Amino acid sequence: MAGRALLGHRIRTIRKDLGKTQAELAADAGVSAAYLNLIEHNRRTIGGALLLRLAEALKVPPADLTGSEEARLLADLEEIGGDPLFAKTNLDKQDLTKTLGVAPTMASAMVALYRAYRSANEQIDALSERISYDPFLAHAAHDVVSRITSIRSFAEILHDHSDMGHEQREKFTKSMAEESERLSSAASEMFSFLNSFEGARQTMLPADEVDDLLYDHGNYFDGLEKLADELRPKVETDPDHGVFLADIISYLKKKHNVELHRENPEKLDQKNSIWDEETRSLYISKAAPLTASRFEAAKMISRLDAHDEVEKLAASPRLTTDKARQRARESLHGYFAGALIFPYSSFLQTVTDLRHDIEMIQQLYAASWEQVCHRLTTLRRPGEEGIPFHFVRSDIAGNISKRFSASGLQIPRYGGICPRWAIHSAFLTPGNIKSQLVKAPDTSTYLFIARTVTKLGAAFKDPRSIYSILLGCDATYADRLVYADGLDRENADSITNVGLTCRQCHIENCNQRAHDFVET
Amino acid sequence: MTHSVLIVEDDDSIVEALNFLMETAGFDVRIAREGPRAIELVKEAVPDVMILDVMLPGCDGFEVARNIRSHQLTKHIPILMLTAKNRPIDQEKAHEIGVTAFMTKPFSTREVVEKVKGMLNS
Repeated sequence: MAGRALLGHRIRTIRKDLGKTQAELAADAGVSAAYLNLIEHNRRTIGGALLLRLAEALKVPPADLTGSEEARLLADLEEIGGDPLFAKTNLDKQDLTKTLGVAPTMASAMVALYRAYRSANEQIDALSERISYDPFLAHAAHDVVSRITSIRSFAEILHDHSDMGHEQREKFTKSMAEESERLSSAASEMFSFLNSFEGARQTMLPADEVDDLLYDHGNYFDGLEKLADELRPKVETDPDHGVFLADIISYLKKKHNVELHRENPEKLDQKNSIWDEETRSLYISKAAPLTASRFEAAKMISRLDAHDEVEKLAASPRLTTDKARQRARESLHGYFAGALIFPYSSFLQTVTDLRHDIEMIQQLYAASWEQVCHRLTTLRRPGEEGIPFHFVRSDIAGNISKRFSASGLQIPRYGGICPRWAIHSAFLTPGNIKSQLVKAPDTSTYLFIARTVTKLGAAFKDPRSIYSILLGCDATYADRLVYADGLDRENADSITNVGLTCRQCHIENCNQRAHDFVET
Repeated sequence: MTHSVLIVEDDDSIVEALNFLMETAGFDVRIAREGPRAIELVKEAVPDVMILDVMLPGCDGFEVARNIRSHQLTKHIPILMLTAKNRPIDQEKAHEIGVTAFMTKPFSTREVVEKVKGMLNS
């Protein structure tokens, strides 16, 4: 395909190099000048005998006209054209084809330049990851705190024990001076290290800013929880049965005069729902399963009843762009929906009683796997905490679309998660639950539970989105989860050593290493 | 009656300070600088109280505490855990394991002594 698109440009370029007119070449090849004109402008595809005649007339081998090297280059250029970097330059496929046809060396140079740019960016990402979780920084910070601890201890001892012997006093004074020196050099090293990274961090993406907002709040929003608790009795018809979709539809109609319609997915741009404020209509995709439909409808309640609270949170200085604020609003409406469907205290009691058997919890609340996992990460009410979980959602290409960690586990921000994590192997057995004990670079042991979820398309031929959801916690809590039953925490052989990403990982002789460790 | 304390800490200066404080407070002091060594010392002779750092060579303070809480003879030992990392998750983990008290470095030496004495009395 690519070769065909370039053929006309190549014929034209070679003809001009030979100093031939269109009419002359057309005569040599035995076609009309008008037809050659169409060929040169890629409006006619040619092959077979005509291709051979043209090649002969231009005195080049036919392969030079159909060239595979150029086809590869064009594929590279098309990939470049799709990069958000060029979003504002309106670079289209025709421009790229023209460039390659007219100036192939320039096209090669462009590809080389782009590769260098990508490589530099990847390096920056890896380095900024390392700043966040760098073992050197962690060690340096620990060293500084230890030095301060000993200096403070010695100072207090000298003050509180004035009757101590001269020799002992001298010894502590000397130790204190030595510790002060160590503190100075530890602090200097830390500053040098940080200075070497100045400017390395890229401008943050909206998704990163929203992540940071969630981290600031520990993924628990008391105001939204309270609103959900207040509203639930007005929405549900029977507290013993929980919140049904029918309850929400009826509430939205009565309280807000909002009508809910089911619509074909193509009319909703493949989104789960669209809200039309003018007609006060909420359109929910016919492709959305019942669990997702209920969730979308509950988000509607949030838009109408939790608007002020959400706006207050979205005004956080953490969010620096409209895109980030919009993304945060969506995320917070989702939070509210979860809080409405899974009442905090009773949900916590239920999950504790069921030892976090997510499938049973799904049945009790008629909810999806992802909804239950997500709600588990929000059980962080001070004084009434659930297990501190981490949560990651990745697609089959390894792109991370959701991440949160209250467990202390570090989760890469940009993808490229260590291939040993169960989040990847879960794709091998779709729908099955995979439990894994891992030892992370911070030396803590974690329990991982991973399984895939499939979001169906509207029809047989529509592509389906498959995600792997990883839920987990520090192994300290393992006994409180059914998924740890049968795993031997005391046996080192049953614990997998994992890294974060290859570039941050020291593990030697790893048979899954894809990138070298980045030295700093 | 003299009480015994096991100090588990890998930083020499902090060991020096804690050792002085505990001896001055009348304790019989033993010291371990690595996690596995601490477990060995506890098995040799059960101390009345432990001061336990989190970041240790061999295995961390959480592992040590978990091991101690899992044995009938040692599960009752009051443990004061010390950490340089001021992370809520560490406090939650310590609580889950059943650590008696938790202090963040840099700590007040007076509070450490009071806390250790308090744990013995309760």
